[in-house]
Amino acid sequence: MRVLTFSLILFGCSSVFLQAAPPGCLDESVLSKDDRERAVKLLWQSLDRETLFTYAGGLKPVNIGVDSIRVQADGKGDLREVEQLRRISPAFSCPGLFQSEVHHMDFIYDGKRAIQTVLFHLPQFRKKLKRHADLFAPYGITSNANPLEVMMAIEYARGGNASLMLGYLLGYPEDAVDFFHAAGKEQNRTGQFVKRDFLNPASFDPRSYFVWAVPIGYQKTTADEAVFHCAEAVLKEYQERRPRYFGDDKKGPFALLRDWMDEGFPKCGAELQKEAGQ
Amino acid sequence: MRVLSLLLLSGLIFAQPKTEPTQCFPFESLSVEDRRIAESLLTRLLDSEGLYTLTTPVKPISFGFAYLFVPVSQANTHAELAAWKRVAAAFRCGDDLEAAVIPVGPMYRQKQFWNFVIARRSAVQRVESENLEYFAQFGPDRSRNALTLIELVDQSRDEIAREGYGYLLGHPRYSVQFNNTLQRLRQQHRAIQSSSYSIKTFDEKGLQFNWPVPLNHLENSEDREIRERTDKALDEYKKRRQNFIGSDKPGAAALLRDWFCGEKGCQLPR
Repeated sequence: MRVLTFSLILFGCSSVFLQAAPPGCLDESVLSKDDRERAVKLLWQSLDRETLFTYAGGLKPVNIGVDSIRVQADGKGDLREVEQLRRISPAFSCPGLFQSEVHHMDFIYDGKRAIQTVLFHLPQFRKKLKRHADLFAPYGITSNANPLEVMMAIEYARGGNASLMLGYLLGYPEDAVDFFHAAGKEQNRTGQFVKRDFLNPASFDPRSYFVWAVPIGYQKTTADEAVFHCAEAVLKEYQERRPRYFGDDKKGPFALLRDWMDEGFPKCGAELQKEAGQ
Repeated sequence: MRVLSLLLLSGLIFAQPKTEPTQCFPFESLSVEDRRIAESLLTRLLDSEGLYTLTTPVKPISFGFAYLFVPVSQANTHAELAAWKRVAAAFRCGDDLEAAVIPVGPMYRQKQFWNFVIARRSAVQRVESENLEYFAQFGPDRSRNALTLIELVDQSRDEIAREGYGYLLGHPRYSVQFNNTLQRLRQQHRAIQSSSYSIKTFDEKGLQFNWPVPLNHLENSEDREIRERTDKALDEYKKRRQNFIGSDKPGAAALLRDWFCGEKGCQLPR
């Protein structure tokens, strides 16, 4: 049944996206015991925060920071932890649906450079690339581009339109992305910080980074409300499912996601993009 | 010393006709709703770094305490923007103070920032005199009002605007020059670590009056001169604020009249 449904996914029947876990999808069984333990820990951490909104329907087409490691920028540090992260990263993926990658960041602070993980909800990610093609075209990026190349283009865009490209991919409302970008440019141009407030849909762990900046005194728009409602629906369902999978002798987070996929992830994330003409 | 002598000079240049209290923040001339908006904006201004433009000569202009981010297509129909423009005309107290709501910066994705800007004309002319090698590019014009100069700076390309805003916002000269170096290095994909020197405001969250300094910078005489002036103004404001701002209290405009007006009429503190 899974194979059949997955075939439908590959052949572009969008209504069945996210309806079943295809073979080799979110499969932790291929990992060694040590790697599996780390992967399970990381996946719980990330599902409890904003990565949930990438997996469960693609409300956040891209999520950064399932894990982040800092390495010595002089190349003399120990990279075993990074190597392990790259070994386990494929277990967070699912052919045609989710792609997990590990990449370095350009910025060096205190002699160290961050290595971060990034998760793509491929169908929603590609729709975003298409919708904002004007931003990505200067890099030769088309909607079928390798996701890692997209992240590298953003990483090295060095101020240009990087905050726009990243903001749209991270699933923030478009007005909020435009504001954040303009505020950064203005601050750089005038030296005057643009005061701002923040909106932050709830997650299981309150330390979520699904947060976007808005002007001071801003009233939530229907676009903001729609993201909040979708996030609430996803979180509610996660809260119901989580206790059945979390704890010793329970099936764990990979099984939670596979089972949830079989039963169907919430569709509000995809519907929001559709409503926005994406 | 240089600041002091220029302040005396600006005092002579701007010997103003007597301003009656009714002409100092004349919010009574506004409609009830506009008056409410004006009071709210003035309180935000005073709680932020705008206080130092109104009550000291060290900060020639202030903006950022109130702004709108408006689609270009709505610039003529946006109700809040229209109200702000109306009330800005009542932000006056003699000839030295200018206020307006103006678009700042270029369009971003068909949207633009509109900032409520206040400027102290004598202080703007002082920084113009002190930094002639920079401001000469806009042409010397003593009769030009401060807002016109702000618009000229704003319309310049980024690196020119950044330097001009540094002077106009009251940043010390060494900081403006350090910021030039900082930005030049960033454009060359190089970076040096920096920090910022911050002046306290009533709204502690604001921290809007600050300027870039090298990492581990220690307060120097230029920083100290500004801080001593602003600390004094902030202390004075805090004392007055508790009597004027809050429900059933006279309000921000009344606070300023009480502060600025005496037997010789009203004038901004020097």
